[in-house]
Amino acid sequence: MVRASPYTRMKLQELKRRTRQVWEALNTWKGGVVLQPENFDKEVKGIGDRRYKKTWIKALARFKAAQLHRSCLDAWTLITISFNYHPDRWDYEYRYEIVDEFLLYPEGLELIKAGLEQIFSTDDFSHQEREDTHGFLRLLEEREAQHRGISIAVGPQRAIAGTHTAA
Amino acid sequence: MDLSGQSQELTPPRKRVTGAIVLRRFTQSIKDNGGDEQVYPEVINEETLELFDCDVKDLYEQTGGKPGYRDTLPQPAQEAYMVNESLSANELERHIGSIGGESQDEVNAQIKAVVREQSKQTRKWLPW
Repeated sequence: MVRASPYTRMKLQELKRRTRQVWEALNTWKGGVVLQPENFDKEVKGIGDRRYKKTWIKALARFKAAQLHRSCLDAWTLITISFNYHPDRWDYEYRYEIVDEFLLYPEGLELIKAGLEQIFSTDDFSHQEREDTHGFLRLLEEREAQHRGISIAVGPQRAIAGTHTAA
Repeated sequence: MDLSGQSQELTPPRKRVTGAIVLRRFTQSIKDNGGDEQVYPEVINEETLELFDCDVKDLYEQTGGKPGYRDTLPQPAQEAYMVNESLSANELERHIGSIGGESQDEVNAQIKAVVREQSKQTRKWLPW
């Protein structure tokens, strides 16, 4: 059964607040100082008409992807932490948009592949850490099903066949 | 318990500590303080800025490392992360139970502040 995310169909005001928050994280410099906060409005405007929700979704996804790209020290943490989407997360609703934006970076796919390789091709990862890949693997499965035009029930407990043997 | 029914004290398994083990303790200390998945990249960004005066992306570019593979960074950079993550984990473990707030944002902000402060201190001991 699919648990409803408390953030499903996020209100525009909340979406704007989250977008600003992510932009600030992306533009944080030493001492927690946010650089040139006045640029936020300009950058969102560059993405589209700020009266439309779709502009803010695009902005959120773009800034979040940029933040993850900027701070990816260990590729595996992308999979087990940042892209480990579950319905309780506020950004669950926009997970496809965020991952799609991340894949627009030339190294995006390489980083994801590196993360999966690090987790599944060594003995360094615990059972729990491998479990923490499920959010991302589920997302892939959903996308694949979408592309095939098949609707599938995706619940938090759904395991991906072969996940445990992939190591 | 042995065959004669006597209980034996278990010795916790020990092994050589690596940067990966330290990183896991660090990430666990973030979780134990209530940090969520949003704060993790922010924490990494803040510690990197304080330790190296650049972000992770630039650190990989400037040192010729392979992005996403920490073990391809120069040894001094890996050591700096390892030391800082060990000390930050100590600090965060000390704060378990005292970090809180009305919102997740407040909890995350407090975690970032702890790591930022520790990273500033660590930086003083680094040779660059």
